[in-house]
Amino acid sequence: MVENRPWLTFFSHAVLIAGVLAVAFPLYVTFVASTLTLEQIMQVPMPLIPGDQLLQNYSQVLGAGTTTGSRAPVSSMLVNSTVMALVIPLGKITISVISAFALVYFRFPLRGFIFWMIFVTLMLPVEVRIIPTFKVIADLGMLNTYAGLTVPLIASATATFLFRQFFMTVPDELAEAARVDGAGPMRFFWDVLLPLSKTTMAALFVIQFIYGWNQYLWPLLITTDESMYTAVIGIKRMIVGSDAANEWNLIMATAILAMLPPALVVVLMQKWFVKGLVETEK
Amino acid sequence: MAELAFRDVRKTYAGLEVIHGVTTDVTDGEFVVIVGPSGCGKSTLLRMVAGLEQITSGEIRIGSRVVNNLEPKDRDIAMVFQNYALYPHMSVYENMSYGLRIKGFSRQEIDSRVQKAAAILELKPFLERRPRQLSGGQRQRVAMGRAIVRQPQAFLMDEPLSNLDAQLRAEMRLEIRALQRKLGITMVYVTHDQVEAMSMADRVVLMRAGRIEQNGTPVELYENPANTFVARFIGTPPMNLLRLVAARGGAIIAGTEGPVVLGGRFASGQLGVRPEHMQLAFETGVRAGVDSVEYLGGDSLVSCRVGDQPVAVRVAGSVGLARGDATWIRWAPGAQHYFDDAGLRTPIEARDEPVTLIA
Repeated sequence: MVENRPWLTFFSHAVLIAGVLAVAFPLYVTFVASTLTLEQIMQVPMPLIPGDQLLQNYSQVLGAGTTTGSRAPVSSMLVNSTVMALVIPLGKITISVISAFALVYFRFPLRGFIFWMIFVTLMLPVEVRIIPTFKVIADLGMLNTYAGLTVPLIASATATFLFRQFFMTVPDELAEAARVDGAGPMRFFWDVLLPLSKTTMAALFVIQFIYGWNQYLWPLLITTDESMYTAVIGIKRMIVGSDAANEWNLIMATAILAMLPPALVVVLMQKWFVKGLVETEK
Repeated sequence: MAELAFRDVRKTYAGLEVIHGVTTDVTDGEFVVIVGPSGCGKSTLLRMVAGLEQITSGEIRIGSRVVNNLEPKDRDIAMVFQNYALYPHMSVYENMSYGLRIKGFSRQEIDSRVQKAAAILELKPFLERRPRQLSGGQRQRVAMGRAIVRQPQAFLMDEPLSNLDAQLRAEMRLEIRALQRKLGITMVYVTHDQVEAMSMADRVVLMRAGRIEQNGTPVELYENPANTFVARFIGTPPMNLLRLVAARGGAIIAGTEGPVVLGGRFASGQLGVRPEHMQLAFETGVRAGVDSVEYLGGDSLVSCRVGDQPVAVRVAGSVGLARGDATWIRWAPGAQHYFDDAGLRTPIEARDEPVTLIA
């Protein structure tokens, strides 16, 4: 819509700026709090100018952790979160792309039934099946392990569905041309389908990285050992008891640290991400 | 290059037969065009040669081998698809060399073949580009190149020009034909466009509903159409078909009062005359009413009505006629075709034709 109405322009900008402030202000407060001493935070009102404790607070959480609640250093939490946030998307993409390939390009008994089985699991989020899943993982002795953190979250109907839809838009002639060229099914998968799916995979990676990083309920259930805490769980464990008993400056520093990697992934992969959502190379 | 043979080839989909026994041959280096309306089975037939569709019964031979149960890659054919089916993520060079790389040719052999094909097709400046960066005509050439480098026994082309604009299509027709002659390619070319069939083919196989209606040179199809379907399919506008009735002295066109156009034994069935063989006349020939006139530049198309039957006449230049005018149409006796009640062509002998219509 191209219209030249100064008041409308002013109004729409005002709304947008208000929106940005509403979203950005809590982040700013978090950041400021992470640069103050605990005493400064406890003042009423809390100062809104960054303090001089930045290096002090961050080096303490990274190196030693908080003294209340969780005592694990945040650096190890970040490592755990990174492992989880990398293994989940990579596993999801690998498994989904292969199962979508099987669903689209091979004729086998019960193909339609299997597709619908996968599709139906879309309706069952992790939370619904979390108790039985916990039981299985506990029986397998996978509590407090990376495998326990990641494996149950890898299977993905959404990603399988996404790749299936993408493969169905790839012209049949491409598969036929590959057949005439002498490429077997796996060769076609490797040489043609995978390169064509690159942008879709990138978009999925970004979404699933954030999904993995932000996992809360599942790691909360299965990690009891401090060395296996993820950053998100670490923050939760740091908060104990009454307001005054917590080291809010350190907790806020951890929160900032936990926010950075997903933001970084989005910023770095933005180009690919947008490409994957809007265009397909066919 | 090699010859192809079809022996009573049939195709059944879920109990429904769509190809009803096709038997024909393609000789070495011959350009055969399979043409027909959509749904006639022409593409299915081609895909059966390529190995992309199973052959239900019958036999297809390439060279001396029966290929019924061979995988496409083992049939030694190359196929050009309607949408070209170029690999979008590969450069032109990679597209052309992909098949050779899979077959394990040496790097030098691949390079020399690709370079040679690129030179023939004038693709050298584009070898590093992606298909997306090429025009329609260039993509078409890359698809040809991908076929050429494999040096197959036969080329199969499935409507390769239908995605191009009219002018480019005309150019590519000549180019493909020239290339086929130059390389001595055995070519099976599928199209729904009778102009492509007529202008490119050594031999045309005209199909309808899974059967061959006629199989012959373009000239044969044009001059001696086997039946009314062939007569109407070949030529634009199609041949005029006029019902005949008996009258004193022979057969006349139904709905007219004469003149006699054929001998009495032709009194039922249809008379066929091509629009380009008809002329407008004054007070000779058959009376007609003008329905509309289309001016095409070099010639004009006059749509008339003889009795209640539509007739198209193609005349050079422009004509001073308009809707509602009355005129006369005449043609040379040699231009007449006769189709019996079943729609089959029956030869007309000179003594059957009156001289009154001679143009």
